[in-house]
Amino acid sequence: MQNLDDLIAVRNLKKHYLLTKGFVFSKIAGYVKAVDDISFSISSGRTLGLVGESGCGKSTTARLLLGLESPTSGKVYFEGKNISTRKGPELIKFRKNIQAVFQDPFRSLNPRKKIRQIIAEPLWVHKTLPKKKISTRVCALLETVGLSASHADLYPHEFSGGQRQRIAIARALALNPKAIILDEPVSALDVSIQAQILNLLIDLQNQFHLAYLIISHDLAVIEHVSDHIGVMYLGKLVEMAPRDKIYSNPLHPYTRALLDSVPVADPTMIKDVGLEDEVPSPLNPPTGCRFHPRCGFRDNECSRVAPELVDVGAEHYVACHLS
Amino acid sequence: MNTDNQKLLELRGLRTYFFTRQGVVKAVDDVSFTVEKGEVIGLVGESGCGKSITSLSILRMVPEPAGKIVGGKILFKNENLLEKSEEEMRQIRGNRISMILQDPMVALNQLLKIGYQLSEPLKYHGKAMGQIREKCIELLKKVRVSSPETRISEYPFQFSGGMCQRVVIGMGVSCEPDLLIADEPTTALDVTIQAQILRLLKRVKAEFNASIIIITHDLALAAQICTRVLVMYAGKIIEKAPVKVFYENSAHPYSNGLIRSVPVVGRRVERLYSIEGQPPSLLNPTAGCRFAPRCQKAKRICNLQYPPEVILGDGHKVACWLYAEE
Repeated sequence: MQNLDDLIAVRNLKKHYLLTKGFVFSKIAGYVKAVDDISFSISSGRTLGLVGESGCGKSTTARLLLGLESPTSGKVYFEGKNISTRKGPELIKFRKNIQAVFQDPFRSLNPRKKIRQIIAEPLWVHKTLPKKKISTRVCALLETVGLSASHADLYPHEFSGGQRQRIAIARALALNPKAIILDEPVSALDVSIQAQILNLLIDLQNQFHLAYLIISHDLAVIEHVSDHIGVMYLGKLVEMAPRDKIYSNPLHPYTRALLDSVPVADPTMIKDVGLEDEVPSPLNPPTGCRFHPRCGFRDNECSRVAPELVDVGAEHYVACHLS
Repeated sequence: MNTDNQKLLELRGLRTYFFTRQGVVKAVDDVSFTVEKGEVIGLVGESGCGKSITSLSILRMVPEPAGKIVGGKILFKNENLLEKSEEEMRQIRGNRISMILQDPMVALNQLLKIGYQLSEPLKYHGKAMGQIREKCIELLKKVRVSSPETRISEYPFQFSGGMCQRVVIGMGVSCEPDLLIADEPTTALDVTIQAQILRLLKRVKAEFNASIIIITHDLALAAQICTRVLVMYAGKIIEKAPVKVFYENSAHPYSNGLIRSVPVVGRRVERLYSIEGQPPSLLNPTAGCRFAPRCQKAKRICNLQYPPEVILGDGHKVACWLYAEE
């Protein structure tokens, strides 16, 4: 985990949003600690999955990695170089290494542009290819994601959700990135299409040796595609481990609760337990361990001292006083 | 006679078409099923397969004039809803049959207090005269909203998504309906909240002794709450089965494919099964089985003629040529 040689290494990353009161003589009303001191690494060809409930900071983490937000403190290393302080042309240059695919393919594609223009846009911006070669590259990309070259002159509305997500993936691949950030890539799709896209993502990873950061609230999807999994709660990583460890031996009570909440497609396994209450407001997070008000195993220490993320062996990290 | 008493709702050959400039979209095409008292029916399918339009048809809320119920019968307690006047329908909606919609933040009016919205069906249907506030507080308690006395005078934006859905469910059951239609009730919610809402629906069902139709694309969710599953594909119901039979022994190749394509926590496979291709357009569908172009087991007849419904076992019916005599 502490190896800076990985493709992407994030160290003590924080993003606090300032909240102000008043208009002219505004006062600081508080901070929303969207991401609060998280560290992880992703190496080439591997996938890190981030899970958690809405508002836990998953998407903010993605935006920080993409350079769309600048961190309050902490560092993001890409191939050993700190990128979190980059600005202007330097930042733009770096961006061709990490591309993104977003949740809703109905909103992430410009409805007024043809598919050819959408996929070629990153190539125009970064000028990595001579203009004459762009068209052939676009056709090649469409075929890579399972569409055909004849689709290039259509508009986004002529495609179904699954096909649009393929187009978004083709656009992300255009610059031969080393990493792709996928923010809920399949949650807007139907089940039968979801499986197609997940299989495509795995194939592309093997073909181009890509690193993925996949964000999802669906634990089954995360399990299917990830090598490592991080569980986030209110801006903190509460548990991180290789995939099989998370599912076979979850240590944090929150991870266990999440796994218990997932419905199983098996009527003989009816689940009737799970967390009550909801995630507290990030404006005013609980003291100590942020999960303690919802935790069934809490003791006095939990409400006073925030647990550190500690190594319990074999790349398994957990932030809980009980383990 | 006894079986008739058990029957709450029966759809016979329901057809709801949309008349567009491009042609007739057969959104619901010859759909028949029954809902018995106390049953939880799962209407499962992908987007655009007609499951929402089926539920809107039951309440006669299909957007007109584009959409129209062109045929069939909807028998609710042995009375055909398609023959009712608009005024009679108003007495049924929210009272005998009520609906829970997908996105609770959209279903509630952001400008009106929770208490007001909760009391609307009670007032309209003349329940709980004079003690509406007490009744609302009691409802909020039943759907487990904490400190209902103060929350009743708050606005929806002060509630989280899960809490809003609880309020919507409270509104749905306020008149103690016989039938509750829930259209993707948990899709907009987090897993932990989804599990809470599922538990709430089960409790509400037991308490009010209502039948529920759950419309969902999530097979896992259907497995957790339903007693019977109906699978829809391109405007037709292709398989009906009791829940245990469905997950162990689904017969239709599409149902099989759906079950196999869902990743299951704790049962990882190297490669997910995926059904190739896209669901067909409902504009001028083929005469044959609508799944035939995507089906690996398709025979010649599949493309020519729509398969008859075959009875495979107790309550298990499938529309597929693999099980029928040509």
